[in-house]
Amino acid sequence: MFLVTPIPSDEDVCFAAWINLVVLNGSVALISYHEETTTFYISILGELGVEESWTKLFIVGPLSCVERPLGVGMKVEIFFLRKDKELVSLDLKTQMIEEVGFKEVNYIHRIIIYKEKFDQLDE
Amino acid sequence: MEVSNTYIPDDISFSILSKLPLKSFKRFECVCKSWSLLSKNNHFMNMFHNNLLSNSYYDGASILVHDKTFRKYGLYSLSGERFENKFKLDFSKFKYTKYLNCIFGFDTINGTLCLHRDDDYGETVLWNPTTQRIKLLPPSPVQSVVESSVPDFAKEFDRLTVFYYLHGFGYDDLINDYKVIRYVTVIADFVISLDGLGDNSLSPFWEIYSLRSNSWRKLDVDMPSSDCDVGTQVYMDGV
Repeated sequence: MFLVTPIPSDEDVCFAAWINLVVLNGSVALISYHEETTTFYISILGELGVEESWTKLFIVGPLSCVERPLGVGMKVEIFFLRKDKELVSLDLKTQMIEEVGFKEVNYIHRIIIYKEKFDQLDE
Repeated sequence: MEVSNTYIPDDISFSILSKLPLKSFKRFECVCKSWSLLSKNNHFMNMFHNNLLSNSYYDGASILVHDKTFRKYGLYSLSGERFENKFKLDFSKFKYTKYLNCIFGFDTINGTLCLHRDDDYGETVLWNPTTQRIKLLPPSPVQSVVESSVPDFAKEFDRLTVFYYLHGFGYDDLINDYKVIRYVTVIADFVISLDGLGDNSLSPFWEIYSLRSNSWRKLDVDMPSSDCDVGTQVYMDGV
């Protein structure tokens, strides 16, 4: 079965430079980054298929050091490339920014959450 | 208020409410006045936020960083409380390094990544870096689908240009099957057509791959295609 859920129609999302979907406590969450205000917005979807059920829960910013958002980690840290070319993570709980050991990065493509598992994928 | 054994103090009920998924919490807001005001209560919302962030769907996972910086090129795994454990993934035996530019979605399903070439010609692989297992998906039967939808006046065409747009990678745990969904657009150059040799776009369609049957089939759904970049998608409980 397929279900279409429109993204929130407010301008924080519609004019976002970057959006990403994650799962937060069993709900779908949408993280968007607004370049002009250098701010991240996190909205949670209450019910699949219902546009009105998006609830904006977090606003983080302004963060003038953001060069480019890259992805989201296991604890919903937001990874981004800082203007000084270092990869950093932003903890949503503490709002602290931490380095993760990638300096002088010219190009990082993306951040992917990876859970090791020995599956039964056929050859 | 009269204290009876059915009475639950506010702080306990608030603590319970703060652990609920958003949907259930919204439903309980209409129970009484104090509950309906909770979303305006900063202290409660802080609790709610913290629970939301603590209850991670991705426990025990690591993150993969695809660093394309010259001389440091590689796929790195980071784990630990402060990402102090870092190692470079070995893909010396991996033939599909060109596909690493286009990893679909932003997480894995049962340790499996779905990758495709960064053209839109449809070559897609499933890869489990832990077991080093690789599955190259077979080509789709697009030719026969197109042939059945070519208008009568032009039964022959000499060239098909087909573009594939990956839209979904999922897992059906009931039958232990991996699926891939993509949107296919076709442009056909007809040999015979009313206005001579013309460029004709045929109607685009959806197709779904199943690992069990190792084949694609056309999907009869009317679904808007998204023009989002790869990497914005999410996967949850088989959806």
